[in-house]
Amino acid sequence: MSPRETMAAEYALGLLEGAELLEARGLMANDTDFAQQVGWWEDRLAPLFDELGEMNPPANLWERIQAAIDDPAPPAETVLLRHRLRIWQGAATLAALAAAVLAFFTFVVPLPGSGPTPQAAPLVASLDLGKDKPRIGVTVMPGAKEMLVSTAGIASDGKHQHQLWLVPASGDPRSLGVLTADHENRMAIPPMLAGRLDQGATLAVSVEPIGGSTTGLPTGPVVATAKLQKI
Amino acid sequence: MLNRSVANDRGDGPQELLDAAMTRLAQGDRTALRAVYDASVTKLFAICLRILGDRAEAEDALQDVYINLWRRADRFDAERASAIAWLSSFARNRAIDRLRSGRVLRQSGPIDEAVGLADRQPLPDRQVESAEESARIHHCLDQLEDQQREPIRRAFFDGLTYAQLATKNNTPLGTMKSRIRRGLARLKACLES
Repeated sequence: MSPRETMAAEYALGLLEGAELLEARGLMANDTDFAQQVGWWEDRLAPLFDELGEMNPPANLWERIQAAIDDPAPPAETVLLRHRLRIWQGAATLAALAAAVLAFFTFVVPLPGSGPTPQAAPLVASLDLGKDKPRIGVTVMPGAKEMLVSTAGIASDGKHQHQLWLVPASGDPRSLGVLTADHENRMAIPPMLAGRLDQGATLAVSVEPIGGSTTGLPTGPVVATAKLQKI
Repeated sequence: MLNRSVANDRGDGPQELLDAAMTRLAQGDRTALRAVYDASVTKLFAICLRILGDRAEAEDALQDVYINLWRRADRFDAERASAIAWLSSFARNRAIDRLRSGRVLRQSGPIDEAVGLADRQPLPDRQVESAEESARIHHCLDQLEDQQREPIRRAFFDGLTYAQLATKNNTPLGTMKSRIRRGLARLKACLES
């Protein structure tokens, strides 16, 4: 097997950690041939699950799932967002971001051809860079393929860029992308990380060379962290 | 696709019904979630329980699986895999994510003590349906040396990484990697033959 083929098998089995895992996740997102190879292994290995047999879950599990899906019972997506953002705009420092978010999601929701439209509450995080400095605002619509990251008011020094990370409870931070200064950054969410951008997920911003970290991990100082919260 | 070619001849067996329900869900029909749930939950629960070794954690993981499925059913690629193979792998991956996120302090004893699942048997019709594919992977695993097969099985069933396997077997990491890689290459050649 080529190294790439080997990595597909290793990734399907879950053997990888650290930099190799990050590389494989990147390939999953960007290389359809690699993703197909991983799928090939998953399909071939799946009959092994029969050895585990079947177990009855608790009787109320379906009700729990339904409750989680239905809560909060949303009206039309955009109307709901408009309402929430109006409340949210009370926080003056975030008002500009809120307006941009509204414009953004009014445009992108519902996602064409993407199956069920997301109806959960948007998640936001406000990353505080220090006293009297602008904040970095992150907005994630559950189920959406992009997120909005506002760096309004942040000046570039021409040598560095901020990079946004998802910080798991354990294990290495995962890059969510490099931020352009003083800009409403619309950023694709890495598919492998989409499910992790949940309530309470920790985000961090580090200072990196222009173009971002070359190691796959933060190399510069982490200047802010915040948790995603429903609004 | 894989299942269909070797599955039963009825055309409307549980696997076909599940494939159809998953396709409906992926196309945006949310009422299909209940059918997907009914056809898959006992299997997926057994998988989550095996990986996580804790009933409450497995329930939470399972809930997470179906909620994610509902929100992002478009990820299912009907061309790539049978629905049950895809769902099983999805559930395993979510359970492993949960295991590695540190929310679970897994007991470190031998795997067979972790969860007593050995007495659970597959339902007869599922056994028949997957018999051919199951025979293939088992046959090919049997071709491997013990020291290749066992770590591959433990990685699959217990969600262990190279580093964890090396530690548990008191084997240098590089040795463990090359053993498993040789095993995977042989396994692939056999599965493709």
